[in-house]
Amino acid sequence: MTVEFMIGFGVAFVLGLVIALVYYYKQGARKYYDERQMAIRGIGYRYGMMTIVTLQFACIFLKEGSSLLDRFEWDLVIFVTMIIGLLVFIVYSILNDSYLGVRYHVRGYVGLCVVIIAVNLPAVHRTFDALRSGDTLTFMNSVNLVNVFTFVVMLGTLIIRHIQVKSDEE
Amino acid sequence: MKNLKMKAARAGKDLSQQQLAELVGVSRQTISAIEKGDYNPTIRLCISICKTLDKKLDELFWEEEE
Repeated sequence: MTVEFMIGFGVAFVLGLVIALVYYYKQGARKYYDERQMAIRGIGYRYGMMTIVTLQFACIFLKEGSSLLDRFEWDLVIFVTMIIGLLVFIVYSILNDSYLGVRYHVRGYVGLCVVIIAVNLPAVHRTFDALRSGDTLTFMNSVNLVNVFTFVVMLGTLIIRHIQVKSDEE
Repeated sequence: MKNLKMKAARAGKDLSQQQLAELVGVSRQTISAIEKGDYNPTIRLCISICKTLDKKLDELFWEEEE
């Protein structure tokens, strides 16, 4: 386990934990989601779950029936399918203003995304090194790239939604 | 279908979407979605909006047949 990996994961975990705790304690003061947002989150969970199940079935068939996934460690494949499912939920929720009070904390979320991208970026080269040398892509040498991808998508979605809301305001 | 009656009633009370949202306990985007016809509120929220805007349910949420 490299230092970059440990820093990337450690920072992401601690920041996530702190934010989750802050939201948890704030929730006591006011209700976070209204009925529309709860419905949106329910639909988002369904889409996310359907995405994970579909991708994992597809990956099983690809693994058994072709050589497409031979260069990918199975742990990484499963991790990526789960991250994509999670992203489906996150993107759908953000675009419908139903993701962890995102409309009230746009700056905080953007800052969080930038920090996580920044701490993971230095270790992304390991994935490309493995690709160049023909090695198998493992969870360990690709997780930082997956993290960067996840938070770039989240950041992009936040910015798009922010622009949409600005133009939609009365 | 857009809910222009609700929008007009809100404007009549001189309330912004944000103010109405706070009065009925939902997000501004939810009020916007109802007015744009993108979301069908529950009867509970309809009643809450009606009470806040001093209107009856059928005045705001009944679609006239053409």
